[in-house]
Amino acid sequence: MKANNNPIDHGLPADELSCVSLLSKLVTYVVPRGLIPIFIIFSLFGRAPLEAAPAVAWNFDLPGERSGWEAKGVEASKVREGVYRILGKEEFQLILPPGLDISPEKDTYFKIRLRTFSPRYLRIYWQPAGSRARLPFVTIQPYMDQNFHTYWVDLSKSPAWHGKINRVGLIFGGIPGMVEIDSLEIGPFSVKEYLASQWREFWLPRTLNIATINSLNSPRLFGKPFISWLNKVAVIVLVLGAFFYFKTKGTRRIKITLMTGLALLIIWLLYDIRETYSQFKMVDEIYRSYVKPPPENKTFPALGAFHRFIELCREKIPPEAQYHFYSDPYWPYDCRIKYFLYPRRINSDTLSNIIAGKKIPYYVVYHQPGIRFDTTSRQIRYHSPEGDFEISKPGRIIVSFGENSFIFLEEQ
Amino acid sequence: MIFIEILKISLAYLIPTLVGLVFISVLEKGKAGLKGVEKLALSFALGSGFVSSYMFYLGVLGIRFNFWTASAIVWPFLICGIFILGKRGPKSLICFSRPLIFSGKTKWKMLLTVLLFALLLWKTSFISFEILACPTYFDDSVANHNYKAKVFYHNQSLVLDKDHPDFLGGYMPWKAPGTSLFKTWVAIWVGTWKEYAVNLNSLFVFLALGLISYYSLARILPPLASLAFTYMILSIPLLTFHAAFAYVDIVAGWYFFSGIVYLIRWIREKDRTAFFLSALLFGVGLSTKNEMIALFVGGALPVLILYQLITRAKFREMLQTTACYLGLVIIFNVPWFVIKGVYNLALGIPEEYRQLEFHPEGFNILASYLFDSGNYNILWPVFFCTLIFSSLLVAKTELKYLLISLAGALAVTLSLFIFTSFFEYLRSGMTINRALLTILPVIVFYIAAFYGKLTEEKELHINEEQ
Repeated sequence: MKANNNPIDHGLPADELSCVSLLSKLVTYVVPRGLIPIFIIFSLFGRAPLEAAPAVAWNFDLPGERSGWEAKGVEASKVREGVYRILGKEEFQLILPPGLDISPEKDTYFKIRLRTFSPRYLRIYWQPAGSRARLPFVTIQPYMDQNFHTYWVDLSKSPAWHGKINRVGLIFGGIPGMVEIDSLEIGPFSVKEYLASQWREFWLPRTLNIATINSLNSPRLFGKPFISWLNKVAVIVLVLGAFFYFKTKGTRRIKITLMTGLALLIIWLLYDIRETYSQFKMVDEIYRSYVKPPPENKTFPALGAFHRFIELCREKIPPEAQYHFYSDPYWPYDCRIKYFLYPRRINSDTLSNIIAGKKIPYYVVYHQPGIRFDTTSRQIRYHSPEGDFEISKPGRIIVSFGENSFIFLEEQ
Repeated sequence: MIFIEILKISLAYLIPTLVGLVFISVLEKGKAGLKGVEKLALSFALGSGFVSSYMFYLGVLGIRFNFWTASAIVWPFLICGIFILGKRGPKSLICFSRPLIFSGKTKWKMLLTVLLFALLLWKTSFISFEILACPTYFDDSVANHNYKAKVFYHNQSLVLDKDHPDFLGGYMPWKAPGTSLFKTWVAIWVGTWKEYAVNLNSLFVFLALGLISYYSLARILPPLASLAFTYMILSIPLLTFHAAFAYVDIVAGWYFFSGIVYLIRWIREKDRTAFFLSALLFGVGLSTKNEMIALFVGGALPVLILYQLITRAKFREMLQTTACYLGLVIIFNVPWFVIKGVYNLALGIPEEYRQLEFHPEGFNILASYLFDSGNYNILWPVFFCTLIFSSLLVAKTELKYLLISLAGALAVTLSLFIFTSFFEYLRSGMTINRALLTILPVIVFYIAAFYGKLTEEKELHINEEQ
């Protein structure tokens, strides 16, 4: 193809003040000289010292730092490696110590860095000095991607944020599960700190889990998905491109189209480069956890040591055999063990591919504390709220894998 | 040992490509309308589809799968290939030419080209790593497509006893078995079940999708723009991710895209080879996913009929053309449809999802996926703006056929989520993005075609070297 005959292979338009040159300036000047410095400034903020001290702050780095905190509805909690871990019911409360003495005029921001392992919402409430009334809630919907996220809440937006604040409480609602709090602060807004935390948020890796195939999350920037910002910029570029396109005539229209196309390509590239980083982090994670370690230490994201257990099953269960399978929860292990161990045939509460009438002598138990081997009767027993009962004939454990995982073989 | 394994895997993928190559060469009747690399990519698409269909026929006839029965399909094509080589010379089979993508460019264009290639190279490496290093990971591969392939391989047949747990692959027997059967073919050639060997299919699909899109775009756009739009297709985040984790939606998307692109090429260039290719691609594509039937009916059939109506084709001619196209699409799948009929298996979506109900709240959820998730880069706003801006041009150009195809495909896909209880899969986000993934390459093609129109594409570049 004679590429030079086509408009896309022409040089950029002459440097005159026109619609075309405006667009070309946007592409060739604003993007490299505007966006790149913004990114550099962002990264510098990530290293800049903090501006102002918060009124109250907890980092959970020191023992006893949690003294004075009150907890309701909490099943278990502990502080480990600078993180406050709470296992809660449907709803649990954490009430910060009394006498906080917060000045609402100055200390306007509530900042919390946390992660949740079940769908949760967080409601913040407060009590002014001398009052026992809970004042209106401010609600946060934490993201559930197994990363710690920092949430900035502007409490001054609430008309009730006035007077001296004596107590602050946090209500976690939603589905029961673990919540981990890395830090919590109430204090004045700090531009440096805000930008630094947004920069960190932007570079958070994408967690590989069993549901990632359904939808990929976008990195976040200023509380919104990065892609939503880029989508807006893309629409602006397109509308501007259309405006200039219809204002001009002839070959200039081609140049405007080229410039618009190029600007969109640059926006696409911006996201794709960030996506490339996500892909790189994924490769790195799998390499470090699954490829590099020796067989006895291999784990896989979201599945842990499951593949090692599969190898063990392959070794111990003959290919033509049938087995019962128990795990808690069944998914994601049931369909995987069915696939990886085939032609061995599975029988479980959720899946079955057994040949009817043929014996099922093997019992494969993976992470199921309710199923135990009874050394007296040499049988497998199921411990349920309704009571204990045997689910096998006598036999022996042919191999154990950690605390609640083993393979049991019935005597013939 | 490793060398022998690599050789076996290479043969498992090269032989279907050779089958496709010979078939396309016969179809071309000596006219070299397709570029070398494009022909190779198409050969893989058709060849792997032929092989899957052939395996299905063997299974239906009760012939056991083994190396000899599986490789029996190769011999007629091999003999035919040798005949073509002898009669017309090697160039009639395949002829490579030097791509012009790196030549005669200004500095910034060269830089852009290198950047795009570097990013594409990374994506290929990412996909290769995930396939070669990881066991099959996600549910639909584990529970459905790879499981079925493993069952077919182990039983050396389809298992047509309805009471057997391995009946038609053992899991959701109504689901199309095309991709699974191709994986079985690979395992037969390798001689054992190897995760990475069967999953390599999606890497080759990814590469073939890129090649077909580049060479199709290069007929309406200059090389750099073709590369840029090809890069956009291959770098759609969800598409790259699906290729890396061997999901079947990318295979369906590949066939849908190729089928539509060659249908449009037939309309633009009146090239009969493109007509047959389009029909055959849909023919083999129908066996990859049940949804492909709806996509074909909604996305390809209206284009075929409307084009003939607009060009005022004679009724008899129209009937002939439509029957020929439909015949080619259906012929491969007749045994599959017969089996479905005999065993009373659902043709489309399961019965529990067939009740009509309207879910307007679905639009909000859909919008959050299209504009706030990381699945599509900036594709959707660009597409919607393109739709608005192209409205003045659509009726006058071939863009209307692409638009009809897209409208049909989007309608059949989205209506399922909005107008039936299948809405629950939109709410949970489980399948909506995967369903849309199949259509995304055609959306990029539409944007590219519109871009081509705006940059005053005056003539086709079909006779020029890419």
